Amino acid sequence: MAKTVLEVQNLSKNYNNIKAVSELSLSVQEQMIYGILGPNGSGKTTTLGMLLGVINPNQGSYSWFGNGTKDENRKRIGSLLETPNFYPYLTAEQNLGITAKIKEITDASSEIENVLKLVDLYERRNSKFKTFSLGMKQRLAIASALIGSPEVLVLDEPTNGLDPQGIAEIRDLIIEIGRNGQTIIIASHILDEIEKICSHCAILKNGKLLRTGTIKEIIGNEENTLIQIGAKDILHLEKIVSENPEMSVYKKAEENSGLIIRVQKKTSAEQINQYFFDKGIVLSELIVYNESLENQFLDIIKEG
Amino acid sequence: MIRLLEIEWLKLKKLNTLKVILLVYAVLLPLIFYCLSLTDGYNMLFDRHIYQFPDVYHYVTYISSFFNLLIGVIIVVFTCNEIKYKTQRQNLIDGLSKKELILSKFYVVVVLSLVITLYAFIISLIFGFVNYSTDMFDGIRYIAYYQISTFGYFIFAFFLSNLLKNPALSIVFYLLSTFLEGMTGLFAKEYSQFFPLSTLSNLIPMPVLPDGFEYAMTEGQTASLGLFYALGFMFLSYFILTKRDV
Repeated sequence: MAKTVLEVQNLSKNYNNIKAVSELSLSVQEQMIYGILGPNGSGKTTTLGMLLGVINPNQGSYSWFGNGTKDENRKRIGSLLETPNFYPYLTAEQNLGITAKIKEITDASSEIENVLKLVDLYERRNSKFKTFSLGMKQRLAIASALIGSPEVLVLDEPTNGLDPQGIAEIRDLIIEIGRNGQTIIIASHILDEIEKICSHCAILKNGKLLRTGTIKEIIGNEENTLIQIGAKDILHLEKIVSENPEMSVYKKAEENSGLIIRVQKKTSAEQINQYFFDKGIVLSELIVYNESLENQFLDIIKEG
Repeated sequence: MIRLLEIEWLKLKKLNTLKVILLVYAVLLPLIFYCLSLTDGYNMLFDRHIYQFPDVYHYVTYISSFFNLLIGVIIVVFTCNEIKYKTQRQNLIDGLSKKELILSKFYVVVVLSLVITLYAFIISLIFGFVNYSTDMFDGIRYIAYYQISTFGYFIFAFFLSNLLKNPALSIVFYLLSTFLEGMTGLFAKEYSQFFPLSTLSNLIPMPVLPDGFEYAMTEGQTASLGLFYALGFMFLSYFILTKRDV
């Protein structure tokens, strides 16, 4: 069993009457690439802010490396939270010098050169931060998180403000880092990003945890297949489906033309057809329904 | 401590506000002090003795205490920048504790007040020796009082910046605070000498006091109370920071 990097218990944060994060519990193991997925305002940044010691939780606890909430823990974590935060009047190199000093990194100058090259900012190392474009600022923030090869990376919307090429580069970089065995926690509202990068995922909505698990468990749906069926009498069809414990209605098809149902993967089309025929219904339609990942995500969010 | 000072130095050495204000301060203090001799009051009120030991210490520190507002502005700008640019947040995320965050600024304040005091000391020595006085240890206690006074004022600027988070607002309050405290003092005359800013300012009192005026506290008591207030402002800053979401 891999070592636990992060353990979160019942973490909650209220802003006046609004529950930004509500009784969140999760656990991240070593070498996971853990995605926190949720729409805007679902509590992702608030959660990470609490885990990184800048927001005081109202309730609950967390522990990094089995070492509680100690401040030294954060020196072992490379983080990008919400926005790139740097001294505008200092150059890229000088800014990273401060980060390196705080993290007590030995051999700082070669580390800084190294991370600046990784994010393609080495040529601009002597430019002041305030002259940087949004994308460059974001890349500098990623460089700052990478300094000293920390055991854990915490990245909040890492591809924010990047152009498509930049997004692809940063994603490849993150995947590469994950392969090297660093644990990564990444928050995003972009499903595609989480799906391409992460091994595990938690879905948040309105501060509540809706689901956790491997990406396959959550969005791959290994056990069930979705089938779209149609018949003249939809209501009757729905009733027949509900009588069978191995079937369930996933949702109504568009324009009420039929139902999309969940069945077990091993069930054949023939068996389904036979079942309805025995119940006195002739199906006008029977096709495998391919739900886009984006829609599945939206459905999970809606259910919550 | 060295590490925290190194971190702050990396931030400060490229800060233009610091350079400009320190330069203005360095030029203005000796210039204005010298210009006193050109005024009418010099012949009537003062005399050459203000440029000689022991009085030179008192006069230099008294004049330079007016310029402490400038140094206060540096501290306000520096502290509020950290909040505005969210670099305070980033420092925390990168691994500093809230205690270290306060301590690092505390060290900056100590160093700045040491530099300012040392400068006043050097200016006093130069004027003192140039004007043919010899006993340089006479009256030197004012340098020590000045150290406590500047330290207290600067910590107060730091405290205001933490409380208000906004540079313009903090500077305005910093300028108004002495006045506001004075107004409050009108309603509690016996106690107004013990108020924080009055205490700090009474460490270097007006060199020429009205006849028969006496302070309630001895110099030593004033110094102790001043130090107490300074440390109080620091602990309040720490308290604010721990309660706040950064």
